[in-house]
Amino acid sequence: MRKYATLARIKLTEEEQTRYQKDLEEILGHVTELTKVKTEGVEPMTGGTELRNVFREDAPGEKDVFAPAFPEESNGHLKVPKILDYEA
Amino acid sequence: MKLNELTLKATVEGIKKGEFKALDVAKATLDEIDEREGEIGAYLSVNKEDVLASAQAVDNAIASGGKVGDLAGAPIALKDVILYKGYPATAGSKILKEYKASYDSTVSRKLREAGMVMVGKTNMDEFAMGSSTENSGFGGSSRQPAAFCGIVGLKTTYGAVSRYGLIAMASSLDQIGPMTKTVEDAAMVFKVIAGQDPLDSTSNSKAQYGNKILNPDFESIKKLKIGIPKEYFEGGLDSDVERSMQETIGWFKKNGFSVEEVSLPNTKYALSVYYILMPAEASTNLARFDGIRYGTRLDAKDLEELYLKDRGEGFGAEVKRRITLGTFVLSAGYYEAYYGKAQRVRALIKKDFDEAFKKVDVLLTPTTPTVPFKFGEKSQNPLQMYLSDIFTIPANLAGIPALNIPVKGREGKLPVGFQITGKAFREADILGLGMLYESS
Repeated sequence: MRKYATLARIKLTEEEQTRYQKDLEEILGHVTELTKVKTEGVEPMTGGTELRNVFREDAPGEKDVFAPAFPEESNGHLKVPKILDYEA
Repeated sequence: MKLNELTLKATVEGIKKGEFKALDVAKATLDEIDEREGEIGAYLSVNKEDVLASAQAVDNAIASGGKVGDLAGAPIALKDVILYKGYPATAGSKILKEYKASYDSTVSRKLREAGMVMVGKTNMDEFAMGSSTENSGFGGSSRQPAAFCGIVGLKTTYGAVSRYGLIAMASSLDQIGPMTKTVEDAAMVFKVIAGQDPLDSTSNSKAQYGNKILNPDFESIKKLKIGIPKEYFEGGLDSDVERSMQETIGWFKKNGFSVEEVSLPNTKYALSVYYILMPAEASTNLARFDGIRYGTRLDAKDLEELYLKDRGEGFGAEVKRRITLGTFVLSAGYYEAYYGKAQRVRALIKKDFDEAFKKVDVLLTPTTPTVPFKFGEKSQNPLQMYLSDIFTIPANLAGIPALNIPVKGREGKLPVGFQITGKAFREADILGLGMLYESS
């Protein structure tokens, strides 16, 4: 549980871990019924549609629409936390 | 009858004929919200000035003899996953608490152009995960809540309505559909929002619906063959639901419909398939809520801590449970056993429908196995809660349209709904059948 929550970048409290562990076991216990279904030779249904390769004009839309929704901005630039560290 | 209690059709016609003003309808709607919102908590945001101004604009257009749209003056609320420019779109989640839509979804734009008066954004389970608005559901998409509320809910064909500007949960399943008082009203809204959209590559060129969808030819509707899938009646139905279904089937037989039993043998696996695919797709879609792009950014020493903290605190219990489950079923060692298997069984479930639709045109089933449950009754047990979606999920997996219609004659009792499922892009069949039932 801790492993997958960390992979999903979610911090869980001890109490949450215990509770979800139990829930997940129950859900996974239920879905194992699928092993009973014969699926040899069945193509997986990978989406909700059979459409492929839909194209459209790559036309510019409205300008300056998205920046206001961004948490931090500075001089017209979007600001993100530091991702690289270095030691001199 | 108060103006806010009219059907959409009566509202739009009344306004066009000048019997009352769009402004009066808007005021009556806002009064009702004022009176009952404290007790119900249906809305996350309502902007009264905007509501009154857009109603006034409709009245002005009519007074000056201008052309108005097909939904002119109709009060409509949007679920908080649908972007409406300038309004919050929180998906019911703390992680989007401060987010305001930067643009209109295609559905919002079409409704706006048709003259809708947007009343507000409605409350929901976080990222639509759930069945009771405790924690409103995509797997029960429009129909299960409609059945519980005694109203009409339409789940549209996958690809019939553009999802541009819809906050994505499970991309192979998500679909937008109307919830209304009558089937006729659902058809009116559907006609406006349907159609292919270059901004959503999953929207389909087959999504073309003419005026017949509003004025069905009942003689040809009566020739539709109805199938009753036996698997939906094998145990587990409330006696109230069971009785209502027998009455409904009886009604269609009495009215000259051909009714025959069909079989959808893989129905019993739908829930398991859904509860693998949906968390898998949601865990991927919800990766974008990382504390970087939207909403609140918490203090953290580095990027990893920021992700862990923002997502740990921003998401609620059900969302965290599903993202973790989704991450598990997509992980290297388990992918084929869970996700791959579920996709194959999904193909079999769709094939069941394809086979049934060779014999019949539509399917008639209950919408939910039980009458509505109480708030808090099921939130402690996820599996129990999931079971209330058991009859609505198969249509989502198969990508086909389905309609909840309230069973008549249950005044003073808890509502029961029946579901009509149709072939892909044949919304006209299920809506026409519903209109016939409702007009009798």
